[in-house]
Amino acid sequence: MSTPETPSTTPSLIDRRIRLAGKIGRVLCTTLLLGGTLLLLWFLGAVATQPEAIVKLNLTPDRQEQIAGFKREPAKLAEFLQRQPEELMTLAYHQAEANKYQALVDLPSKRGGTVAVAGLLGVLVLGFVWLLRQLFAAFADGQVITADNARTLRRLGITLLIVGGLGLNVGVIITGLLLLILGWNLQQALALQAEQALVI
Amino acid sequence: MALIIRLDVALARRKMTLTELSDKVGITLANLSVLKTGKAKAIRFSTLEAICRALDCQPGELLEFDASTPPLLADHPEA
Repeated sequence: MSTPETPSTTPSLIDRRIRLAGKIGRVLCTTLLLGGTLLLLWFLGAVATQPEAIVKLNLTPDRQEQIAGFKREPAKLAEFLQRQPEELMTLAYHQAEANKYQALVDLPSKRGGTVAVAGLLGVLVLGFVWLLRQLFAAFADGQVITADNARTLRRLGITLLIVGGLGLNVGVIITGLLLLILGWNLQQALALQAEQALVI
Repeated sequence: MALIIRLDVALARRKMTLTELSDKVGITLANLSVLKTGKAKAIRFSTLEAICRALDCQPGELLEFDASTPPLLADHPEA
């Protein structure tokens, strides 16, 4: 004779940890989503109306002075490279960024295209964070291996594939592929489990 | 599916409820209900044996083949 089993209502330690991680992730993603949206709107607005503000943001008076100093005395550059190579890399990055946006200041006709591309990338990245938030929200509710999560994982993978493809970033493309495969595997496993449940 | 489970008929003949069978066989009521309603995709020999023992019957009493129903697997030609 079998005795009826009553399912345990007390969540296990791992379950509690998953829920906690889900709650933390959800808060982080919500913050990132709000902050990211505001940042994207500001950035697109700045690119469209006053790209010189982004140039100034990258080339602060201190950096401008430093670059001018290197131009006057190239020996200083070699010395700086030996002393602070990371700092020089940062300076070079900001100079390259400033050059990029200076082109928009000089050629206003290019602004529309830049806004469109940056907007598309920004929306995709925000979409990625939105999907990530959905995943964490499911974790916060204690749902880990579900069909919804498998679908979200696949969508995350597809988003990363598009972002990586647009930016020609191999690392992002590989991560996207991995997420896509993970989501697909989870979906197949769930389908097998559902079928197995019908074998009596 | 062309195979029909006649568990309800076998139970009715013995005046036994599904709960009683569940207790005798050690299979959950939910699983027996899936079997009875024809939603099951497969049945293990061990399950069939346990049910036959509990009901004191042959597998043929529990299973029936309906040739008019289309085959479950498309690549299996109809007899």
